[in-house]
Amino acid sequence: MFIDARRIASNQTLETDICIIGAGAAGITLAHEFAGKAVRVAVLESGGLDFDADTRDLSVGQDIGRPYFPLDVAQLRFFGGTTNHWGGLCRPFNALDFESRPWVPHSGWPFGKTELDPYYERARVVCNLHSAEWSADYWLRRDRFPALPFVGNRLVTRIVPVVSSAERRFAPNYRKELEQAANLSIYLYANLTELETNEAGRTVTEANVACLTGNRFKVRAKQFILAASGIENPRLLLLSKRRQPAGLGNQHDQVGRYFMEHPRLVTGILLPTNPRTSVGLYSQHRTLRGEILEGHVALSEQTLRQEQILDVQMDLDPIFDPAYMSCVDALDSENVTSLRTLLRAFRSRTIPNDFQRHLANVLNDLSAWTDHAVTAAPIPLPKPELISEVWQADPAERVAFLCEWFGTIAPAAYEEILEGFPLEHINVTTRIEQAPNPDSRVTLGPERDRLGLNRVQLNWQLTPLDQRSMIRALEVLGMETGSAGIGRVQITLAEDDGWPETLRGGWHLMGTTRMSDDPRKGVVDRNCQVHGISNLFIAGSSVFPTAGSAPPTLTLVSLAIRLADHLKERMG
Amino acid sequence: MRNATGMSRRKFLLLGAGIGIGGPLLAPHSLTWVASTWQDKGNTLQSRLLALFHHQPSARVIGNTYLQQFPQEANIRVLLKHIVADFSGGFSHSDDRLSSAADRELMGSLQRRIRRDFSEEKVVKLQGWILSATEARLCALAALA
Repeated sequence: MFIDARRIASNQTLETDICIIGAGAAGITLAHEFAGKAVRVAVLESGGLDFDADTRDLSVGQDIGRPYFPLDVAQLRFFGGTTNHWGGLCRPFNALDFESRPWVPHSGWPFGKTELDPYYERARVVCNLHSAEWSADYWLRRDRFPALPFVGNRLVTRIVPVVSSAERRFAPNYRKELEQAANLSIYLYANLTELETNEAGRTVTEANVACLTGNRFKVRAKQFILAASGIENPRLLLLSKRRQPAGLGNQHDQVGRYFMEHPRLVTGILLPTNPRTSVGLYSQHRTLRGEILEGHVALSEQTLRQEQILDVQMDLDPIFDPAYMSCVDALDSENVTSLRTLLRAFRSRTIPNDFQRHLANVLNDLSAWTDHAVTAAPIPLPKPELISEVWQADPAERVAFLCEWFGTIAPAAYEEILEGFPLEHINVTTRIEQAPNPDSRVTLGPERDRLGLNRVQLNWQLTPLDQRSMIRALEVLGMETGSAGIGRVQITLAEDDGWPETLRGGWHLMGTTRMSDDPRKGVVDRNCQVHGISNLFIAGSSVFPTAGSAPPTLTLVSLAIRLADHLKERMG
Repeated sequence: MRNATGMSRRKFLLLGAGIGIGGPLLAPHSLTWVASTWQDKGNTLQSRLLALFHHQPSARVIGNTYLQQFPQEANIRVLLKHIVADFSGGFSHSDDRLSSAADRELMGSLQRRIRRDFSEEKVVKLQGWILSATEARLCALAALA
């Protein structure tokens, strides 16, 4: 059931078995795992069922390092959390991501990928991803776009399946189930302000909760799970300092350190030998059967080991010959989308939703040319001045006429037949696994929010290894594309000039309560239990010791399922 | 972001057209020219190689950049020696077989050499562009002509 915490009288103490703080991807997954089980679960969600500005303001923080996204945008404080703007990309981490690599300081998980594999399969189902296939070979056999024909084994193609936009939001997907589960209570507008412990600081006894309306209450539970975010998890630990002045789990000054992102930047240009080189695989696209995929170029494991660099993924964004730009825009038109919808339905012998609208779009588009026909002619005849214009035009201009006269479906068909409009060049965007860096960190700042809690300061910092990895990946791409006759690469990221202002992250907040079996090197152990505290656990990407280059959602959902299993076993 | 290139992409595209980066290294229509001059016994290796460019001014821009970076190679003989050294056809720059080699053979050797440069990391970075050492030297040859 959903409960508006603003209506709970102050000074009450609620009793439950498990208290989950946060209802984003991790928190909802945990609640889903406990739904219908013989255990009482309370979920404390800071926001409501939808966005509201007052709650959002609680996430405001200060950048004191590399420029980062506003923290009240990077975190979404309402039911569903950041799955409300999640892109739906799912890929498990690679085996190498879990290894302790001598060339990556502070790398290594307490376990290998095989430990997470069964949870990845369950996470896929939770995330609503229909196919269980991860292999690039499998998808390349089904896809309509080929991979670039690299000849060596230094580069690999990675395929990332994408959950459709209609199916990826956790809030609508799980709301009904969580609402109906008799053992679950989802408290909305309930902000955790502090976790209280016993005198020894080894057991959390209560969660102190405040609402923006002024009422405050407590939740007493046997087990507590922080599932707030990569920023809020460390913030809440640091704020809980009644018994431990440095904050809970922070006896070795680890809480908030190792903040990681997926630094992302256009770092180069690939000039293809053949202007009609197909790079459709590397943009988000649908296969003929309707699955959504996105391809990336990456360095093989062997190359990463040899070059001693971080995992790098390269996105290839086609920049078309300007003469074709008006036609390129046509590819994303509503009419072309309608045609594709009808064709997919035709192939699967179904009738799509909004059939009449799609049909009308297609027919209107296809009849656009009649505006340029001789009026009242017995047969469809283009106006003579148009024929003359076409006759005198060069090939690129003729394509522009196609777009001008024939709506958007004709140029899309032209593009399909020619297997792509000519490219001017391809922008190469690299996204790297950020090296774990203790100096990249979240701390409490002097400013306070409306609840009187210290706002955070984020000091996002990168290392020379991050930059070297980006540049070396481009160099390898340059050599491999040259060797295969695909084209030439220009690196636009200067080695000795620091990071450009255009550097951004991927909206992924990771690493700030990292996992390690050694309490001196991490905040949680292999079971996501906070070191030294018997009943406090953390869920979410803040426990990642390394970030890989894969999107974090599937992995954090896997870890949440694994944590749920651990607690079920522990609680009998 | 600082533009590390110093040379616009558009300009490089033009250069690419010149030395075949945007197309095959030895562009098809340059073959006609090579063929037409093939019977010229006074044709030197340098001029034969330069004939492979169909936009020599562009090649010279790249070549000058290369020579600024590697001034010790600002010598036609040195460049030729580097370019034909280790050709898969077993040529040397003074080898008679080179001057008597068919144009296709010469081009094939160059193309193989360039690809091998990339696979063996014999590359240079000129204003950010990763080029094979051989193709960069060919441009330098044009710059010195």
